[in-house]
Amino acid sequence: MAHILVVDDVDVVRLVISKILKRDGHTVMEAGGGAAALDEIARRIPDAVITDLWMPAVDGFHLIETIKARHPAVAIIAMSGGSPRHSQQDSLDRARSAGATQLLDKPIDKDELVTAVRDALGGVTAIQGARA
Amino acid sequence: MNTRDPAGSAPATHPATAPANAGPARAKHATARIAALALGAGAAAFALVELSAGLGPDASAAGAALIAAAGVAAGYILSFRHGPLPIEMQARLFHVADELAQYRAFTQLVRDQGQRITEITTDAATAIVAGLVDIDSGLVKLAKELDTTAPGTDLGPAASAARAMSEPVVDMLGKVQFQDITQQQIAFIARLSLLVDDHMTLLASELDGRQSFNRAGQFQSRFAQALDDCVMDSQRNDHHTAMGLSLQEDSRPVVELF
Repeated sequence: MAHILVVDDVDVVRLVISKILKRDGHTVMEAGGGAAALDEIARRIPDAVITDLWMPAVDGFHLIETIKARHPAVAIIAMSGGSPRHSQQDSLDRARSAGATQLLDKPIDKDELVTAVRDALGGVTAIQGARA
Repeated sequence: MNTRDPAGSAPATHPATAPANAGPARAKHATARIAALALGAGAAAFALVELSAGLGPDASAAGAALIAAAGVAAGYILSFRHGPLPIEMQARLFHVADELAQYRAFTQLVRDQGQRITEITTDAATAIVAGLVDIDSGLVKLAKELDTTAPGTDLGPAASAARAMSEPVVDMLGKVQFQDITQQQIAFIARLSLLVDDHMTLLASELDGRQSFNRAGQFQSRFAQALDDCVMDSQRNDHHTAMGLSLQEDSRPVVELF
């Protein structure tokens, strides 16, 4: 199974995703923001990163671009429920442009998460359509 | 009662409670109007006398007098337009300013309550998730131990039951994400209220920053009644903080909603 980094500034979301992934057999690390995620990656390069997009300081878009520039092989899964200023679809479109290969809507569905991770790790590069 | 306008605008005075020097100021302005009117009338009379005597060598003096009279009259009219408003109009403007201040306090209260909801639900959801994770881990561990310590025995169904029990736990974990969604929706509402707040600030500035000393508006009294009847102390304190009021409360019994 894979080593996966989960990045979200909301503790509940991070815990839920981590639990689902651990039950699926993965090793999971967590980071509460973009800067902490980059620190984690500097210690150990993950196979995949699942990141929220709207976070304080270093947001998900900057994080995705940085990871893709430094470690192009790392699979990126972006997730968003939108923000007070931006729609969910706009956020996911920007994430796709930044380099995310899989997109997930919030709240995260367990089965969709597991499928997205498996596809990302399996080299599936087609963009997963976000739920309409 | 604290009468500071949350808008932080420059203080003005209510006509009913105007400072002691407001009367002399109005009297001085009225005297100036009378003087302007008298001067204009005198100049006009002089011009008419000169004109009635025929347009002779004094024609230029008559023209000058007419121009002077017109200027004084125009100044007099403009002084009405841009000078102090009638008392009734001032009272209305102060009333509107007072309502604006109260509505701004209301939007602040909404944001405070939203922040409180976010904090409470975050703590609760985090505790629920941690508990569910522990339960799930315990059930999975139990199932594994039953598998390894008693393979092929009657405990096999127990292991299966433990695994089955852990399945809905994960689904419940997913549902706890409602807290994140709720938090975002509250943030959206707070942002909208800030937009309203900004607009009310603009409206207050259109009123030249007036600030009423009379805060007995209908909105405030209704709000206070609702707070007294059915809210928690913490919510009432939020309201009073938003209104810039004292936190000292009387000891009347209240109905706690939660």
